[in-house]
Parts: sequence; structure tokens; C-alpha cells
Amino acid sequence: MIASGGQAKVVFTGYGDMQAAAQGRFMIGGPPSVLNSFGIGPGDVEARGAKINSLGLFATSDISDNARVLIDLTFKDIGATTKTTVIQYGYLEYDDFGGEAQVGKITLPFNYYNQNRFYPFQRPSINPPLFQSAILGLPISDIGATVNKTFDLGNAAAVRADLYAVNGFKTSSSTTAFRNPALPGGLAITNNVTGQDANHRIAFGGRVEIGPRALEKDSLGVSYYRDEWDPQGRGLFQMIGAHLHGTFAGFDFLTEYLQLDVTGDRGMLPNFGTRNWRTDGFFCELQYNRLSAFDKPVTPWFRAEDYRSYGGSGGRENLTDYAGGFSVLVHDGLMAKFEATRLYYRLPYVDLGDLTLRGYELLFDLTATF
Amino acid sequence: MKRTLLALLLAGPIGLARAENSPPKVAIVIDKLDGAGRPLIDRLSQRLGSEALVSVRELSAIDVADPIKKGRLVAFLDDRDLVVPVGDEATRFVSKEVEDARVFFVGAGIVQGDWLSSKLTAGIFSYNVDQLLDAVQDMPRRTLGFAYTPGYEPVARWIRRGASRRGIELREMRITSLKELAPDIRKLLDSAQIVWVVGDPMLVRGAGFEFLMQQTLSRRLPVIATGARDIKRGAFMSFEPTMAPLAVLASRDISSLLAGKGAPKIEPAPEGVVLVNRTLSGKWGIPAPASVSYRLVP
Repeated sequence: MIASGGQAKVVFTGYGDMQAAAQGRFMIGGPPSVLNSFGIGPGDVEARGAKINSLGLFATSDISDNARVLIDLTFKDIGATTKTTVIQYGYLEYDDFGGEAQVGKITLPFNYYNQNRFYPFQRPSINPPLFQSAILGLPISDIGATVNKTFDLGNAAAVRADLYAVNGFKTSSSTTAFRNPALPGGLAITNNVTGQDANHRIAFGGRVEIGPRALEKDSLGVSYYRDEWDPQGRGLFQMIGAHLHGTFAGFDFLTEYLQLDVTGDRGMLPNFGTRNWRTDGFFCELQYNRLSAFDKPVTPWFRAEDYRSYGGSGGRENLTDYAGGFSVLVHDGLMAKFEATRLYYRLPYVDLGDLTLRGYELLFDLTATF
Repeated sequence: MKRTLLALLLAGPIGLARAENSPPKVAIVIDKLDGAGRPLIDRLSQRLGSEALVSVRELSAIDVADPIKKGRLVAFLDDRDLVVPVGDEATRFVSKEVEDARVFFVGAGIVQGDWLSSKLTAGIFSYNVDQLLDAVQDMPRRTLGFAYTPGYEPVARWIRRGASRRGIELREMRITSLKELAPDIRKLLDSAQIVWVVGDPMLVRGAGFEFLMQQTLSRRLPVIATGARDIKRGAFMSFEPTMAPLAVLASRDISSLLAGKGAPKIEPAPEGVVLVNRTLSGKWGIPAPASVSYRLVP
């Protein structure tokens, strides 16, 4: 008889992502006192350079027919040393009840992008949508548990429901500020998650998607996340999302709506004039997957996004970004990408005026998987 | 990159250890579950279902360019007692990614030679040597140049034996590296009227195959290749196995393997259809074979 040795094996796969900014030019303007607080002056900023954006190792092991362990160890800010090492996810997955459960550090099922396009090898673009990546922070992941189940509706349609409960946000620097003003990329809200629980309250949420059985290809979904972020468990942080993802005749279209509601945040008081603020915004992304040049698959894409945040008497924060480009699958496991992006960002300061940032960037990227 | 590491400490508490008498776990991996593949998979699953825990994975439905999804699939396959790749793509994936697993490939024409030589590998090719040699016998040209790569010695023996029985004159060339490919192929073409290539992707895919096609087309030499798509690239003849007898033979061999009785290391496909390039047949005036079942491919 053929028999196994009864040993679980660990399979390692991974990726590396190298980026180069061929040319970037941004014009910064705003009240001198505000610019001084960021350590910058008004005028043009030009940027060129290359960096290793991230290196990731995925470990996967089936420990029984219905249970497996998955871990992603990612290295970022790589220079002479690696400044950031992140366990992006690390969980035990179990699927012997007609659904799937995950326990550990999990990527939250919120909208579509977070779970399906976060990694550079999952998308033709170099940067993810800017608001989500540079202000909200991707991926949205936390420690806790999630359960999902897909229900067959007949006629090749299905509904999938995800529910989760996780620690929730804990800001690392302050007990009274949820978010502090910064230029895009200067602060990502989820970068403040310390991995510890902020208070006695549990964050929870869920997502419901409907579509054909292959939900990965086409789906319409709504998502919800609720947390109380301050140590007393009072300040509300709520996310409401909706997404539409469709594929047709080689086109792949994704749009996501996001609403954030935050209360009790002293951090944005100078900007919005209130401790309670809200963000509304969306992005749309279209890509075409059936082109090729010299026998290499080429994927052109375009994206637009617009997010506005506001509170009481202050002005409105606005991020508008247009980006487009294409990727070329040079070889199995090696993708080259080109991207041009145009950004407009405005952050209000009550009684002082607006901080503005506008400009463009041309980027080149190589993503290798192994 | 993939490495197999030590047993996980977690495995014990979660119940990894398999009971001695639990059925063996078999994974069937197929390129695409289409009209041609599904009957074969259904038949294999049905036949093996009583003696093994059979799971099926469709490779084209899994984005294996995504290392997370690839890792999941490979971890799953690594945990099987027997992996059965069906078709060229599935066999290529399994040979490249799955380590230390017992494999029985079904209906593949392009297999890495060193992997084929491994004691853990057995299988059935996608072509039938006797039917192809019968087709050669029907052709007006009778000197067959045969090129193969290391690991394909058993196939070379089948062809040698079959050619001898039919009175076909054989010229052999064992090609061991890409560097030798061009001079060796040229030498072989100088003395052959028909060329048959089997072996590594080095010879039957990519630049090696392109070079061969360039040389043979300019000399108007018919080439026998491994798959239907090679006809589109200029090969004169190839083979398509018939699924039902292939499934019967595969399930018999796999059952025998699972029962510990052993099975033939490699076998040719039991039967099928010889595919003939319609354009070249007309252009070069070489008639389709009369004594074998064939299909003209545009």
C-alpha cells in the first residue's frame, strides 16, 4: 500500500517588488506655519529614485485534510537594513463545515481590493488606490477570527457571507488622537494598529457578496466594520463599503465606495474643527486582459479616485487621483509595470487655510514571484 | 522557490497523524475540465473512489502565477499519497513544484527527462508509438531520424524495436544539452527523411523546437511531434489519445500502485488518432496514412 509518512510539509513561495520613480514633480503650498510643522517649504519638489518596495515570503502547510496554516512574512523599507518586518497575515484555516474559518492575524474581508489586489503581483498597477494605501492603509488586517460560507442560489448564482471579530484599532502614539494630519503616505490609519487591543471592546464586521458561483470574477458586495478606538472604548471608528467587480470580454472593472465615520478624534480637530468627521469616496479601475505584444501578455489599465473628508465648521479634505499604465508579463513569474499618476490633495486648517499638494509621477516597477 | 521543511509541531495536536488503515489520498490535477478532460476525470474518480480518497483540482481555474494560491495548491498536493497530473500543463506544474511525492502522469507528451527517471515518477504518455510507426510505414519515405533527450531511453527502446519489426531504417540522436542541439539536429537531418522528436521541453518546446521546425521546413522534411498544437507550428504528424481506453489503463495502473503491486514505469497511450497536417500533406504530396486511424488538421 502507498502510505504517507504523516508529516506536514511547509511550502514556501514569495515575491519581490522593485520600484523606480523615473520622474516625479509635486507643488506644495499652504500656510507657512503648517508647512513648517511638516519641515517643508512651499514650492516644487522633484523626486527620482529606486527602492525595493517589499519582499514577501508565504509559508503554507496543510496540517490535515481540512486544516492548514498560512503565514506571510513581509520585509519593507529595505536599505542597508530592513526597517520593517511585518507578519502581514498568519492564521490557521479550517474548512470542514461547509464553510471556512480563519483564526489568527487575518486580512479583513472588507470590499474587494483588500483581500484580492493588495499584493503587487495581483494587479497590473504599481500603486494601489492612493487614499486606501496612503491614508487608510492597506491591507486592513488584524488579530481575531473570521468565518465565511457560500450559499448556492441555483441558476449558477451564489451568495457569500463573511463575519469577523478582531481586536480593533489601537493608535500607537496617542490616546486621544485617532488620526493626525499629514501628507498622503505620511500617515496611514491602519499603520497605527499595534497588534494589541485598544480597549475592552471587540471590533466586528462582515461582508455579503452576490454573483455567479465564481465570486472571485464577478461580485457585488457590501461591507461593514465597527470599532471603538480609544482606551475608554467610546470613540467610534466605522467603515461602510460597497463594491462591484465584473469581468466581460477581457475587461475587468472594479469600483469601491468607502465611508469612514470617526468620533472623538482630537487629532483632526485643527482640520475639521470638530472631533467627529467623516470620509466619503470611491475609486474605479478598468483593465483589459486580452492584449499581447511580442507574445507577451500586456494589460493596460486606468483608475480614477476621489475622496472627501469633512467635519463641522472646517473645510474639506480632498484627494483626487488619476492613474494609468500597463503591465507586461515578461516571463512566467516576472512582470514589468509602467504607471503615470496625477494627484491633487487638499487638507484644510481651520482659520489658517489649506495645505495643497499637486503633481505627477512616472513609475517603473518589476515584480517577481517564485 | 519551494522547499520542503520539517514536520510542523502543530500537526500532532490538530490530528495530522493518519490512521494506519485510512484510505490513501489521491489528487488528480488536470489542465482544463473541458469536454475532452471531464469523461477521463469522471472515470478515474469513479474507478479509484472505492479504494482512495480522490480530490480533483483544475489547474486553469487556479491562478498559479499568484504565489499565495500556488502555495495553497502545492501544500495540498504535497500532502497527498499519490498525485495524478493529466495533460501536459498539469504534468509540467507537478514536475516543477511538487517535491518528494509519488506521481503517476496521464496523457502527457512533454515530461522533463530527469523527473521521468525518478523512482517516484510513473505514467502514460499521450502518444502511441506503434500507431505512429504504422503511419511512418505507410509513408513513401522510410528513413526515420529519431532525436531524444536523456531520460527517454525507454521510449527510444520502443521506437527501436517497433522500427526494426516494420523494416524502418532508424537514425538515432541522443541530445544531452542545448549547446549540442543545433549541430546534432543538423547532423540528423542530413541522413533522415522523416524526423521524430521526443523528450525534454528543451527539444520539443521553445527555441530548440523552433530551430528544428525552421530546419525541417526548409528541407521539406516531415516532423513527428508530441501534441496537437505542434501541427500548427509546422509539424507533419502528432497524436491524440482516445480518452476512454486511456482512463481504463490509467485507473488499472493506479489501482495496482495503490495496492502496492507496482505498475509499469511508463507506457504509451493505449490508442488514439494520428493527426496529420493537411496543408503540408497537400503541399508536399505526402498522402495520409492508410493503415491507421487519422485526422487531418488544418
